[in-house]
Amino acid sequence: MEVFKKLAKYSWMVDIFKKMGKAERNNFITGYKNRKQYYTMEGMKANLKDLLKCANCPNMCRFDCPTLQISKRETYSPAKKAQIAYFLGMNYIPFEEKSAQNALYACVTCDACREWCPMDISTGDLLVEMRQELDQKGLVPESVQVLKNRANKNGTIFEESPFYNNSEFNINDPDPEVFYYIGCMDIQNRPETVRATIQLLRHLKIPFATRLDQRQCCGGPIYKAGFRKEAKKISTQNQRLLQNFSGKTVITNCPGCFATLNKIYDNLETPIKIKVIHSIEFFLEKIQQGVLKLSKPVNKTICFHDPCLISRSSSVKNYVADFRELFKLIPGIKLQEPLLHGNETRCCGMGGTYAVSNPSNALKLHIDRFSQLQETNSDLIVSACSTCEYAFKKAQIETKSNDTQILDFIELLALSIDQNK
Amino acid sequence: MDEFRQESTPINVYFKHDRSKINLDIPKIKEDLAKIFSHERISSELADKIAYGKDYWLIGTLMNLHGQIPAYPDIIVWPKTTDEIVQLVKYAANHNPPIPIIPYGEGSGVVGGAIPVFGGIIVDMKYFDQIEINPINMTARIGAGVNGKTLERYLNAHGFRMGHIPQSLYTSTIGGYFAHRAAGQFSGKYGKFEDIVKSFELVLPSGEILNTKFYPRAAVGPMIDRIFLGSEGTLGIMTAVTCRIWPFPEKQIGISFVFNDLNQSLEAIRKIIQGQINPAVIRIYDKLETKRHFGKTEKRSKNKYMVVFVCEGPSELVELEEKVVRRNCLAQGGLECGDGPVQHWFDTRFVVKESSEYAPYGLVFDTIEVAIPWDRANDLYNAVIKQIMNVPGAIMASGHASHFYTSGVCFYFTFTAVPRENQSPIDLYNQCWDATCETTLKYNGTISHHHGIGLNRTRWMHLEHGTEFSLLKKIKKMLDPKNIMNPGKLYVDLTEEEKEKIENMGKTKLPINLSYFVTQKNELQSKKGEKKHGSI
Repeated sequence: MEVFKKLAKYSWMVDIFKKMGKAERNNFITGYKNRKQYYTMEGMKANLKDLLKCANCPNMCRFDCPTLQISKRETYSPAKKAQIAYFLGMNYIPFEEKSAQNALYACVTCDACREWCPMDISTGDLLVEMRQELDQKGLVPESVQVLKNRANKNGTIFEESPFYNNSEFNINDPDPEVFYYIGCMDIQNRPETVRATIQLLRHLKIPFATRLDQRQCCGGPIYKAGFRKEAKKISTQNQRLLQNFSGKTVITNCPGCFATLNKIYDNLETPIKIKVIHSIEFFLEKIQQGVLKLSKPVNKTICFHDPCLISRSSSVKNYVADFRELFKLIPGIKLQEPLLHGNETRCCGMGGTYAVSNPSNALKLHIDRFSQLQETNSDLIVSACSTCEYAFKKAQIETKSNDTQILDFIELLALSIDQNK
Repeated sequence: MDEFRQESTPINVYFKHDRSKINLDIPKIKEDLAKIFSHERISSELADKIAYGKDYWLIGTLMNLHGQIPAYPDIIVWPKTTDEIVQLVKYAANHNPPIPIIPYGEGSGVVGGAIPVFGGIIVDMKYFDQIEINPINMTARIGAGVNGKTLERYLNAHGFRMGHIPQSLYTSTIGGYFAHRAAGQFSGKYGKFEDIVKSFELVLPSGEILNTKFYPRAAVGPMIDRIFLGSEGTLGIMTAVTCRIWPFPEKQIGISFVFNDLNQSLEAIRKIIQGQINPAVIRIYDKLETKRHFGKTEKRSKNKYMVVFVCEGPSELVELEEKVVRRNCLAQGGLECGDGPVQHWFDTRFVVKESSEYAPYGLVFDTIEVAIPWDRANDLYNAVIKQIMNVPGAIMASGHASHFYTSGVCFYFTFTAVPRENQSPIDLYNQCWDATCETTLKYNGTISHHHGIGLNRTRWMHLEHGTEFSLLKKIKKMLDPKNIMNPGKLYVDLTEEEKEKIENMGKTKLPINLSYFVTQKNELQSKKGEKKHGSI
């Protein structure tokens, strides 16, 4: 059926083909048959076909590319990054060329490009593949190489692993229903969000496990940095851990973990069979079922920052509407949207290891997005990602604007429950 | 690096650009530029040279397939202030040899306007990104580097609309619109860019700053500012414009009709426009394009010419426009198809993927927009389609009309061709372009409505302008005696061989089909006996 639909769409082309002279038709067929020469290179695993498509596009997504907006460098527009990656892949320029390597890392992998792409291409995904080619050749920039060393050392992106046996967050109830998959950024930089989640789970009397004694990073940042082998090593261990879990659901507050477990693990051929959801889905359902009652008014205006990885049309799951629904259900909340919101949100600058490869520009992105949120003059800036919140706190310190409180939605939920009920 | 450059230049088009005449000591120049720009805003890195060496001209796209670039800049700089640009142009003009300066917005031009054919310094204007609204005068002061979509999104959020919506909206800047005298899809209501611009700041090649005065209107001698609109970076660097803006429209409607022939649809629109009704969007698609764009969504469009209208503004005005549009279209035999096709147009108007999808097939394709008065519009359309299809290798030629005036219309042709064995795709590309421009000039039409001249159309400049061309060249010489501003475009003197080839095109003016005049004469005569409704 799909074939017929496609044929109907291109029937005007069929008409042209029928009317062609014999010579033109033969030349056309020859050209068509030879097309692969432009995107085939022995030993190259990266998707050169889509890179060429992206490179030959007039950059229709550029206005929402955060790294271009902040760097003002044409080279870091999506189509030009694809052009550089394509030239590398086809050996038109050497992989040793530093300026080309930099172009591969000038991406936060936020998928804003895909949101506007008529060909449904994620430039970020393509660049990550080319970063992996760089790693194969041992040419990943030194600033990023540190992530590989840490992954090999302790399975996380931090110097010291935030996962350990006697952590206050290592909770393993008997017969757990839920696996609470805590993100390393949650523990490291926003432990308040972990406490709020635990508070809610306890309030609902749901037995859960965190298995911090066996945990590692999800591997997402390692994968995006270009270290596929190390990411696979981590994903294999996580796959085993989650497969051994006897409960039904894995919840996580971290959009990065959510997207990695659901999507990147498929790419790494270590798929997770158990259902992995973002905690918004879990708690919203409990509220809608009447199990979780929100009775304490918060009485604040809030501005919500949609995290890229759970907000794009192309995300594994788009939770944009869920959050709006949730804010309607929290008493005393008035939502004020920033100019860029929902599936047109702007990255905080932490994605795609950009803060590691380009720390100064990443900080500019934190400040840029933070100021967009501040323009709403809300009492609270709320998000659903510890990494984004960490970025905004950094921006807050940098700009010395400490008057706006930054919260996670999970903290907002914890504020609106009455512990005695 | 040098080897790579050798391999990739020059471009095989009409003009040979001999870079060897400009020997630049790049390290020394960079050292000098560091006195003007901070080090991170000066680059001669390979990736940057590649990125800034290509715009969206099809030749560049075809070269991309082979890892080639039309031309490399030597250095890229990112100024933040007008003063930095002043210092830069003074430096470039006083340097021995003078250094080419090429202003750059977002590189989405389709005629090679931003390609640094002689190398030199690309001036990326992206730091000029301020937007300031004046709600009393209904104007906005906008930096040259502001992206079209970013601007419109910002204005919309504040309750305004500029209404300049070209298909390149997502990937073009205010500077580019100014440089190329751009036109947007909604220009029927909001005007072309020359109508939108009220004043601007521009750095002249001498380093002087031209700040044109903002006024509602003036009669104070010749209007110098008009010379710079459409000058494509050859007469200076525009840094900011004051543009008129409008309230965000209260109402918007879409309406569409199909017609049996092109002339009927043209007549309907001529009567609407000349009847003082200006829908924001009007587009006529020929049969092939109707099938291509609406074949699936509107069954009644089979073998017809689709016409879509968008009217927007105050409710009463929109209702009136809709009424007059309907009356005129029905009177010319149009069949109303509702707003379905218009919605489809809205959904697909920014879907640009042909180059990406079809370039690897070895095809040559492009779009060419021209303008022609009403009295020969239909004839020009037929002649251009015929002449393109006469080019050996051409497999498709189609067209739509997208901008209309009381005096005429803009046709937007699309062609596809397949190179023969061992034929250069660029030669074939040029043949299709020659066929279109030659025919347009024979009908005394204008070879570009809104894409501009760039590299691609420069060879027709003297034919297009006639005696104006020598005056244009004198102005260029006076303002930019060292020819530093975007050299190789617009004012190029042809070689004798090139001149002969090009001039042969315009020699034989085609006899204009007089059928149209006869019809009009009869119409006028039949009205002679009618009562006159007063006179001025």
